[in-house]
Order: sequence, then structure tokens, then C-alpha cells
Amino acid sequence: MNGASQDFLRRLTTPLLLLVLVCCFSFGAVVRAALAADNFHTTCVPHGFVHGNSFSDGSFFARVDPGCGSTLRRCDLYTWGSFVGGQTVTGSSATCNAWSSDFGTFTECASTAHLANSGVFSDHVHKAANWCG
Amino acid sequence: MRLTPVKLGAAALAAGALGVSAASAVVGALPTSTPQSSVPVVGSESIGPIAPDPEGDLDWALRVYTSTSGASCVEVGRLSGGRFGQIDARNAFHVLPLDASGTCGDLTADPTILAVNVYPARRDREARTVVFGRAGPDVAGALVRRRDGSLQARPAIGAAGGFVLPLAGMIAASELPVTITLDDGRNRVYDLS
Repeated sequence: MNGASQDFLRRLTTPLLLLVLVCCFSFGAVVRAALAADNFHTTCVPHGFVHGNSFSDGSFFARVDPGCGSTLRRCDLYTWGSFVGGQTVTGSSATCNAWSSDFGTFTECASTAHLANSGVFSDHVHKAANWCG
Repeated sequence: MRLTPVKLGAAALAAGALGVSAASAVVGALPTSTPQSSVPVVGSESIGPIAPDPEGDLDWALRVYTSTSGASCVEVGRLSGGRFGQIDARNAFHVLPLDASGTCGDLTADPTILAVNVYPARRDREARTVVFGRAGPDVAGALVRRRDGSLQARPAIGAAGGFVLPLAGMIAASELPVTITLDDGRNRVYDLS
């Protein structure tokens, strides 16, 4: 260890050390919560990007559950920013469920679900939890 | 205890991991599971009806099944040698195993589950739009129209209530209103716009 490092550590007081640890704790929590929000959440009805058995098996869904008076739901899949397939459903009880394997073979971590639900939420995007695009 | 950069880094990593754990307890585990209401009851599935591709490629077919929550589900695919699957960007056929991949609904709440899938053109695959669904026992027929007047078709309804109509090209679902006729003669229009 050089002299500069020793000086730095010497100046670290207990409160400062605690502050560093609290910041690290908060950073971990914020990153985790952000990942969950990007992936899947509930705005009156559950919807989002749903992974299959793993984050990397190429099996994933764009999904919008029914409910909240909605009669029209759209769930589209994009990979590397390009539309690869999608579904529109109507009725009060049907789940919009676009499965990647129905449309081809795609890179899961570079994929997004583009979702809309009439009268409940407007068009918006959910990314894969392990986003790499 | 003497604090070294290594120990400080380890403590910071541990604090970050604790933060992730704490947030996970609040937001729940990452949703990796397949949709519960779409999970099939093995043995409940059947294939049909079958419809020809508009440009002579592999036939289209429905797979209908009941989910573990009792929902009626329907999935559209291609048929090759009696096997249900899909074709990829190179027009190669792949079998799709029975999975939680259907569009599911409650036929006691709605007379029909109605969906439109859009398949964009890929390297060796033409674009397709497929209107499909599953009708309840009170449905006598379905009529699919295109708003510009270029299409009017009545897809056959199979024994399990499935119907499928494949169309060439990419067509917005909003351009394809579907009229469902009930046994008592009443019509119900499903407007996907």
C-alpha cells in the first residue's frame, strides 16, 4: 500500500465509513427495484415482459392480464428495436400473451414488450430483466 | 481492526448485496414463471380446426386446451406431418411443445376469445396476419371483415370452438372487425380498434 492510500484510510472516520456502507446498501436496493419495475409491474392489471424458464432460453412473453374494465389489449415483442411479432385481444376476460417462440428465435436480453390496454394504461415498453440491448 | 482497501471493498459489496436482498423482499422475486392462468392441463389439448395458408405454405392450425385455473385457451401455429409448431425466419418448421403459451379467457364471461397475431416478414418468410379465437357453446358463426371491403370470410368453427383465418401481409387488428352470431340470432361485433 502506498502513502496516499494510508493517508486516505487514516482520514476515514467511523461516520464516514457508515455513510459509504449506507450508500452501497441504497444503490443495491435502487438497482434491484429498477430492474423489477422495468420487467413487470401492475397498473391496475399485471403486465410486462415475462421470462420463461430462464433469462436466456429464448422463451419469453409480452403479457397483459385482463381486468379493470378493459376490452382491448395489445402485446408486441421487439428485439434489437425491431418488431418481431405481436398480438391483439379483445373481450373482458382474455389475456394478451405473445410468446416469442410463436414468432421465431430471438435474443432474450435484447428484447422488449410493447404493451397497451385501452382505458387502463397507454402504450409503453418493458425491458427484459437482464437487459443487454 | 485495521481497515485496508480490500476490507473496505468487501464491506461495500456486502452492503450492496444487503440492499438487493432488502429490495427483493419488498418487490418480490423477479417474475420468471410462466403465466399461471395459461398453464395447460396435460391431456386437455386438441388440434383443430386447420386452415390453408393464403400462399400455399404450411397449413395453419389451432391448439386448444384448458388451463390449470379452468380457463379456455387457444394457440395458433403451423401443422407439419400432423405435428403442431411454427416456422422460423428461414422457413424451417419447429415443433412447439404444449406450454403456457395460449391466449386464455373465460367463456362464461365472454361468448368468444378473439385474438389477432401479426407475423412480420423475415428473411425467408412472408408476413402473415392471423385472426383466431375460441367460441363458446352459444356461438353459431363468425364473420371477419376488412374495413376497406376487400375481405369477408366466415372461418369454420371446430368441435372445441376454435376458429382460425390466416391472411397474407401485415394488417392492423383495427382493420379487421369480427361479428359473432349467437344461437338466438343476436350479433356481437368485436372491434379491435
